[in-house]
Amino acid sequence: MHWKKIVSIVLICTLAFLLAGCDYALAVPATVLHWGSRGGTVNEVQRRLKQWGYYDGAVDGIYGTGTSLAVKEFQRKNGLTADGVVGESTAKALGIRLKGSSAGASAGGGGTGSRDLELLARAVYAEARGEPYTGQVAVAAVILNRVESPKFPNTIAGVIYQPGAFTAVSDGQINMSHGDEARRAARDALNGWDPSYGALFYYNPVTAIDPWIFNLPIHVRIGKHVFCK
Amino acid sequence: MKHKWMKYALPLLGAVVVLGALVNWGLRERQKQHDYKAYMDNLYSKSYYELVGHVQNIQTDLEKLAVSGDPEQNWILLSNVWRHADSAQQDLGQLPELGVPGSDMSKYLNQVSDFCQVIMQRLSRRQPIDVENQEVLDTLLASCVQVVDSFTTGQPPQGEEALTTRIEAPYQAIQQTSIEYPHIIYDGPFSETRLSPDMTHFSGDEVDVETARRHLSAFLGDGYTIERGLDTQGDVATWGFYAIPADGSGQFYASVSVVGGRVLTLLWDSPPPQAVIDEEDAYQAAIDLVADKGLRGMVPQYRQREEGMLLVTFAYQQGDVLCYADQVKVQVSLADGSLMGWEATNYYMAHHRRDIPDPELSAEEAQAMLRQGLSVVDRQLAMIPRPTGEEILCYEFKIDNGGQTYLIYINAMTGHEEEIFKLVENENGMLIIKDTNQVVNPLWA
Repeated sequence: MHWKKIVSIVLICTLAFLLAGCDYALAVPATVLHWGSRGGTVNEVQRRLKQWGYYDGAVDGIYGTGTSLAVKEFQRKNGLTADGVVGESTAKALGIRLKGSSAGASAGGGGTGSRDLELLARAVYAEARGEPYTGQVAVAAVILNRVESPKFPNTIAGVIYQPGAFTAVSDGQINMSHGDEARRAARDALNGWDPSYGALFYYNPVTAIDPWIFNLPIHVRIGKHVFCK
Repeated sequence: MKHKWMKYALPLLGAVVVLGALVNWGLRERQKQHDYKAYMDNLYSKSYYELVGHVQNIQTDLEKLAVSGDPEQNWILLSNVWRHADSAQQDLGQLPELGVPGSDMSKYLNQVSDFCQVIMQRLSRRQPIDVENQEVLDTLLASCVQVVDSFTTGQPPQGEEALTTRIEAPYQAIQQTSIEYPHIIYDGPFSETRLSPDMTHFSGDEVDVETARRHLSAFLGDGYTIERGLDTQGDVATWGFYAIPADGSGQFYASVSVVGGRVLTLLWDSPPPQAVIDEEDAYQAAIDLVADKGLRGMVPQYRQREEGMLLVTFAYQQGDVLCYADQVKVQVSLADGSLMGWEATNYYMAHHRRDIPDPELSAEEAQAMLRQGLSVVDRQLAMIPRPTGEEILCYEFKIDNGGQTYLIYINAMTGHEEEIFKLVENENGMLIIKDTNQVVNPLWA
């Protein structure tokens, strides 16, 4: 009986200690920081105060008068008791998590890039298959130049699917599967090759019907396409 | 008699059945087409009315901004304008082509959202909206009022009239607008000054086509037949050539700048070679090649494996500072390490001897500005180009956070965190992610 009691007391104490430890590990600083404190945590407090415009002294890990005044100003602005001491609530308001691990953001995959590449490759294939390779790179470059230009939508998909912008999109050829050559052309354009030298339009002079396009300044003619801006 | 009647009856009946089926099919198709058209018209109308709503909100928020004196309220209003301008621009992009008035409106909306972002950045650094900023905001508002007016005059007929008139698609009214949008100059990527390339550093005398041909021939070395190709009149004027290697494996598209006679672009216009050599050997070949072409101080940055080729990016290093704007991209064959591609247009547009200031912050002080708990893998001084075209001196920190690598740029003068890139490695090389819609390779392209 006597032993059991001792064992349970020990167990309860351990548990209580562990729980307290847990809580402490989650968010609360072990010691309150105040005038005269030193170390890495003070560094972090100073850095944050500086970035938010409350502190303009050195980030030196020494809690001096400047830091204390800055903490007070921060506390006043954030509805905290302005005592110049970094306790639990002030640390929380500053976004400081002392004993917790650093934000464990998980690494995402790199799928975004290849989706743009595939879409661009399909547009190139639909619009310019059978053209010289340089002409295919130029068509991809025109799409990317449009993304950069304020006069057109700001994404690759936005530019390609802008109603009426590309005939091969309007008539559904965009959905054909492309070959390696189109993908290579799309990637060369993404990597910065631009044989059109900044063109925003291209047309086939034999089939083009909009007269206004003939007035645009011509950059270059590659294969069947005239590239202009 | 009976027999004769029977002779016509069957074909006649058949014809009637076929005709009936055809008419039925035609009617169904017409209905389907009608439904599709109505569906598309409705989508267009939705985009149009959303566009109108957003532009009206831009007007209201810009008007409020003109009377608001509090930085926090300024911030909220600017972020509203920015959001509405961005959405309006997207809605506009979903409407059928609207010609020049459409693209002018798009440019205006992009500049509005762009300019608001610039001001918001100022506010976040405790700089108020100054007189110049306010003047730009005033002109943007004046145009916005014109756009809203053009929408209301282009409205479909109301009341009695609406019952008798067949309304045209309302968005087509945009095509009839003739609004004079302002030319605004500010520190953002869509500012007027940024829309044409900056050629200040592109120096040299104009060369004729024969000189250009000699430059190209010297650049490539022996063993190439050079033919005249496509000249360009674009942002950069160039002399065009085709260079054909002696083994007849294909041809290069090549362009040489008219100003200075520099080899800007080589693009392999033929099927890629078969990969046989080791990637490391090709990488070394690329490094040797750049040195051989007479460009000094070029440091390899990133590489990417492609079909039969290896792409390596180089940036210029002045002293111990990397200048990311001066970038050359080289492709080498994975068959024999020979040159397969060259892109130096950006290099020649940006390259100059810079007046680099001494950093105000030491590397340790800059590192202290990083968030706590990040492990720094590497650090380096770099001049990074801003969307505005200017360059700022930063400490580049390569950091690791839970297995994910990032590049963080801390301004070496002010300690501000200027930019963050996420690095993703795949089997072909390294990708740099600016945001979800913008994957760039190589860095700072």
